[in-house]
Amino acid sequence: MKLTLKKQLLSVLIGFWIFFSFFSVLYNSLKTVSEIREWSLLSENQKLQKLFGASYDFSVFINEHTEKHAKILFYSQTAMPYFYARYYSYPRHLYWLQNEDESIKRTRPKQFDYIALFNMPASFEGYEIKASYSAKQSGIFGSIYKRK
Amino acid sequence: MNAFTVFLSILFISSIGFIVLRGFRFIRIKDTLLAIGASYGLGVGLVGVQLYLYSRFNIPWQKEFIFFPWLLLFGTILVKKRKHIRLGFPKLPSLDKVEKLLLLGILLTIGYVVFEALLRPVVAWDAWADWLLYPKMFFIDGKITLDTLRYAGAGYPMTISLLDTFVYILLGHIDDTAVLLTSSAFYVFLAITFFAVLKKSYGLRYALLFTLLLVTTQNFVRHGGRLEAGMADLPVGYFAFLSVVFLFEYFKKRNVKTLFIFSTFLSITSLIKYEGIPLAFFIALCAFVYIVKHRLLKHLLILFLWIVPFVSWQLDRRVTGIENTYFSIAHPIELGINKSINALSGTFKELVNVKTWNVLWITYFYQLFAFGIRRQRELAVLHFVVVSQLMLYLIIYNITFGNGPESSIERLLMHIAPLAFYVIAIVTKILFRKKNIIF
Repeated sequence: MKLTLKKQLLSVLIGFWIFFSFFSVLYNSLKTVSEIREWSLLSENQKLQKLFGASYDFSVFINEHTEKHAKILFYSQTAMPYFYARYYSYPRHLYWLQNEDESIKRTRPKQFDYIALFNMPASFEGYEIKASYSAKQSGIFGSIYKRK
Repeated sequence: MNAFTVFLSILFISSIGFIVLRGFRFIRIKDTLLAIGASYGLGVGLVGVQLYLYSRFNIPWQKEFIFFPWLLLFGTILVKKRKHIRLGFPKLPSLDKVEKLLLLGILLTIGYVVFEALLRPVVAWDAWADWLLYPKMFFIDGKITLDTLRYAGAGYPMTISLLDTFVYILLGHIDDTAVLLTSSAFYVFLAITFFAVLKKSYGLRYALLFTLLLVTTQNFVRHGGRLEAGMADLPVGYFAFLSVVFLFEYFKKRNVKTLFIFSTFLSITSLIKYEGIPLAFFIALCAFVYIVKHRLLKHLLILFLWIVPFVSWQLDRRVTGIENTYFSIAHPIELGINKSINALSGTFKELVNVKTWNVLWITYFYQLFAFGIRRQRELAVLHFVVVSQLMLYLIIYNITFGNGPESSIERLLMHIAPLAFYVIAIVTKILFRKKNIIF
């Protein structure tokens, strides 16, 4: 019995689909080799560095220079460094500001144990610089201020 | 070693689900494969409830306290059902060459997904910024505290976060690479459930073929173990699929036990992430219509059970002041013609994106427009749920600020993709039943 045109078209679609599926099995199997080459020789830190770059390095930097339960005001223009540091550095509590907000300085001058600056300069009354960070390749810089 | 412990944790979680499903006879012996497929989902829900209640009643999250109720349950069911327990390896069906090839394709792809999950730490933004942030906080704090919930801010339901917390507790420390195996488990258990459902209705070869099509779809591979592992979208798809499967079982049997399990999966669907709420609602609506139409009004009470955990979570949030900031802060209402054009064109581009979906959505819509629902109740339900949820996403894109298909439709389609697969499998079988053209 002959198939209607609609059904023929469906057969063709599913035929293509089956072909794509087997192709994808083959592709994934071959990709495994390149993935092993790219990732398996890296240490955990190298993998994180490769994936998150300066955001990861700066989070490590925060952990090295602050106490475990510190409250940190985090300045960065982009979201990624803050959100990654919030994840990576827990149980430290991070609060994000995208630019120098004078009202924060005025209304809550000493509420935070530290101020972390990612790739932006600033000065803070009542805080002293504790450590500076700079990434040689990307030119990204940062610093941590500690409450006096 | 960590990966092995996580593997054992997943096995333990699914054993809990399996023992409940079989021990309380929610699923018959001949549906063992379906019980295995659903076991992980039920286990995830149960351990989530366990950790939540422990935290509420100040019971420490220590391994001995965690294991105790489950070992008690295992022991009780084992003693009660000892006469019915038959140990032995299940008889495997003999496969012909084509079936062996299909099975090989499935196993190779699953192997690749698991390998990818273990290759690198969590990559996807939402995964580390939200879904794995909560478990990290819960594990370090040893409980769910108001402070941590307020600090993280998003106010998402906690099922997936509690699953990952459970794994961290059994592991004894945080490992955000090994924990990604929980995503691979959703992928594998979805494939098992899908295979079980199709095998029962349409036979082994057909089930193997469509399971291959499902597991090799690149977006499932990404969410199961590649770059999107750790997200909650694949779990929504898995639980929505389970809900629909048990709804269809209820259509056949009309018994309270099946309805109860359906209601349980519906409840878990609504407690994965926000998008699960309307999805659960659409599926529940189909059940409601069926119950009213067939005058099974006493069953309505069981159906509405799914709302209880959801409502209690909402009340909990209100009382504790954890706001839902989705519409108020993150995405306030905003209208505009450009938004509408962008919503439609972006969604359309994704539906025809062969790289991500193969020809899943092209085939789905082709079947919908070319062949309709063919007077089948199951097809009507599936189409209703898929199209309603998709329409809802389009409406959200149209009326909210900062929401567009470019950043999320790839993930959101994941919620309904298993149902679309199911539609295609059913329709194709109906159309080619007598002709044996492809299968």
